Amino acid sequence: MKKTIALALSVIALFGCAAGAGCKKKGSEEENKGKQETYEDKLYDGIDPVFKESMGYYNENPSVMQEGATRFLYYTRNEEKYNASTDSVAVRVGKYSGGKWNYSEAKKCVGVGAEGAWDSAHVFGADVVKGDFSYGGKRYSYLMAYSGSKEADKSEAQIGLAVAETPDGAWTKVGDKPLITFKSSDWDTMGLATYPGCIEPSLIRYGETGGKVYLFYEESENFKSNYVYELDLGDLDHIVKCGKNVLETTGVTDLGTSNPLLYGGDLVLDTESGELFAAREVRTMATSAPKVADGVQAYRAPVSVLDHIDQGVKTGEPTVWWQRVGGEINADTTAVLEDENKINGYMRIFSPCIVSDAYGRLPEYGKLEILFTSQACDGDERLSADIENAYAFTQMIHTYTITY
Amino acid sequence: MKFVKRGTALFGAALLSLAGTSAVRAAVSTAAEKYPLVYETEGKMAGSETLTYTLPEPVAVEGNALAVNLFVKNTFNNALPLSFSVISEGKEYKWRKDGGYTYGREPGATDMIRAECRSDGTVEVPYLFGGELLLPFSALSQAVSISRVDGISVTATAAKDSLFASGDSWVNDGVSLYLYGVDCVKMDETTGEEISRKTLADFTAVSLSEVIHTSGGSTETSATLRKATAEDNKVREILDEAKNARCPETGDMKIIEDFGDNLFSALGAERAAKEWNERYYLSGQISDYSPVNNASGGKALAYNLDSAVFDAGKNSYAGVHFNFLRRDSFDFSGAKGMAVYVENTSDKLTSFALELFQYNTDTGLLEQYNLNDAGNKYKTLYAYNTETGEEFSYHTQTFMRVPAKFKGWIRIPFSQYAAPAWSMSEAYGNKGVLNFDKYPVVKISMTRLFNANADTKLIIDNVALYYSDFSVGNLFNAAKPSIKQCVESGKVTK
Repeated sequence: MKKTIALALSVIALFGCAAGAGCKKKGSEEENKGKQETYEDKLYDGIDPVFKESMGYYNENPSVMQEGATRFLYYTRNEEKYNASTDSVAVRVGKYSGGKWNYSEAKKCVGVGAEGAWDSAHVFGADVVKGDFSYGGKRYSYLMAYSGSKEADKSEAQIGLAVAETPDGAWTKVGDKPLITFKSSDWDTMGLATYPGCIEPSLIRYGETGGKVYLFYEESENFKSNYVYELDLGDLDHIVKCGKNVLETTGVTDLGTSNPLLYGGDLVLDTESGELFAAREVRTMATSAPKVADGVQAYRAPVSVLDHIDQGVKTGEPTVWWQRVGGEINADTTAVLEDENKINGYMRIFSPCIVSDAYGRLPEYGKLEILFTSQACDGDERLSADIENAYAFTQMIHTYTITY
Repeated sequence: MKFVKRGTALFGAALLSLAGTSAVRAAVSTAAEKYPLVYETEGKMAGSETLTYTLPEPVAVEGNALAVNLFVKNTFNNALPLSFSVISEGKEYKWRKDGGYTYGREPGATDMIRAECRSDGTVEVPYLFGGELLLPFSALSQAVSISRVDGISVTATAAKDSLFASGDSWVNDGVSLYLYGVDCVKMDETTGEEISRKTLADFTAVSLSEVIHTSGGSTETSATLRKATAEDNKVREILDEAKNARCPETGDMKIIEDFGDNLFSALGAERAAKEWNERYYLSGQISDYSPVNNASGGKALAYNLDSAVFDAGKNSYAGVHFNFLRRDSFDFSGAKGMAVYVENTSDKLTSFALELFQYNTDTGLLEQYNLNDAGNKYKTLYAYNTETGEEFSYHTQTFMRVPAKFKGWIRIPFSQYAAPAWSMSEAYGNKGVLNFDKYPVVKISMTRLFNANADTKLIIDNVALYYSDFSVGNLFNAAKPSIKQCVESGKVTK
């Protein structure tokens, strides 16, 4: 459903969009390869997104850190409307007013690499942490881990780094190689198949100073696993890689699998309680595109899960590490019963993150603010038939708070 | 008469007592002194092979047991099924399982061998057993009392029929058996101490023509019977010494199989190669193993699946197996898991299973344990790449996956081992309880699937037990040693 700019402006007014740059973008007409860009509403089937951008731009894989009274929302966005080959990691700066966080215009942090580069086709799913890092003789305070791929289908993803002096950039990619490499043949017996690779990086700084970090991520080869990597990234010219460890997920449950994971997991540390909190997608059961999850959940586990190994002969049942926190965020949760246009909620809900402080720590015990992505389904009659795979450009980012 | 029941404290005490007595030392021949009969088969055994010796003249029975002095040099299984009979007054008498206990004793040993007398009277004599099997006359299957012995026969059964065979299809199941002699002995029923002894047959003195060799009743057989040579005795000496030696240790690991690091260096090259080769045996598809030099000047095992010999009509798996050389290898107490040094020489992932075979003394069955699981749960392996210094853990199922070009140690906590789902069925009788204090692990197999791993060569060295509670790297928390630290500077502490 294409709408005119005038209509778009009225929609913005209707939803009370603050005078952020996101709205400014919607309100402007831009030349794009000689074509006039038109604002189109996305499909608001439930709670509002935290910012609005025209259909044709995907806003997904959020990561939010809060420093003082400012939030930095990193997410994946295509730079060119309806063009999935123009990935970027963007940031919006949020200020709290009027009872909500209002976000600025999107600012590009990193884009795809040059032809032949490991991240030449896609960059996505970034996370940022504050610390003390040096690279090329300069000091930086912010480190970004992001997934990249040189494959059009995002397969064989690897994880690279970028640094910045301030959280909203400018960002400098670290080297020309990924930090976490992935090669299907290393893990596939026949060496012929392709896999998603290493995705969903999530960073937590270790300790009070320096550049040691936990890097959590999901590796999808024959066996999908959550990993935690202990890294000393204080000197990015001489990275110290320590152990890369499978993250135990006992206690996480999904129907239909013996090995549930923290799919799309984002982790934060509560230093006071000594617990890790994780937001994750439920296991995807979708049979039509997009084949992503229809809900996200939160879990908690003692931080000792990171070092535990069941040594010796197994006696009794294995330790159950993870416990659910609060209810699931799904279509029901995101429905707005007071609005007949939004009573269905969102059918696809995935890629969650927990709002953390700049070091990947939980800002406030007892509350998990989770941002997540929604997406329209292929075949939705409200999507333009003129756009191939229009559903792929419908993603929005929402927020929901779980208390415990 | 009664022999002291095997497995009781009294029995154990008796054995300890026996092991140290001069009577035992005198009774059990040592390899260097005499040249026994050597009975060997190669390749597949059709069924059973029997040696029959008729005494020059009948000998009156004095004592309460037959003592058979032998050495099982190698067997393509963990144990060699042997059955015995005596011929008395024209009738053949065999041993039964109930009513007595067949057991063996070895010079220097402080415990009894794991000889099991099966329901058909067959004794499962373990690999490298060198000593006496004591067969009480009271356990003769006909429950008769014989007054004289006219002849003796020894029957070796194909390894595939062993209780320890686990239904596997062996590529080879031959044997090499040294026979020294058969005596009548009188044992004290309470203490197990030997009172008297009388020679029935001295196989170190008989000529080959005096022994009749039949195969399943036919005189046509591929097996050979010959007199031992000085080199044969040297082999036994080497194996006896190795058997009684402590397992080497490196870091926090006790090496239970080092793939023959210089074990046979005192032999000629050809004989050394033969002896090395015969320590391992194959099952399933034809696969290829060979010794390769390792970095420390010893030997490792190269294991390849050659697609040219793949038989599409058979199950895809192939296995190479080994028995424990050292007695010390049977002691798993205090160990936290298995460790193995592996090199994947290919540029793609390959896999193998390091399977444990635990002998359940309650059921008399050999139980298989690997990374399979009834619940299809992922298993976690822990790796240290000695070339890159990286430490990591990763998931797997059933087989140990080895990443492309990996060189280093892989650790498998015992917690990751489980009985395969199929083995828990009534037909197989696996109880699924690993309990090393109660049930010994007697064999380890390395199995691979042909269809997934054809033409990939693994180099496997130093199968070990590890004893430390390690972490995967310890950059952030030094409370536990890293795998590297365990390997390089750890200690074996139980």
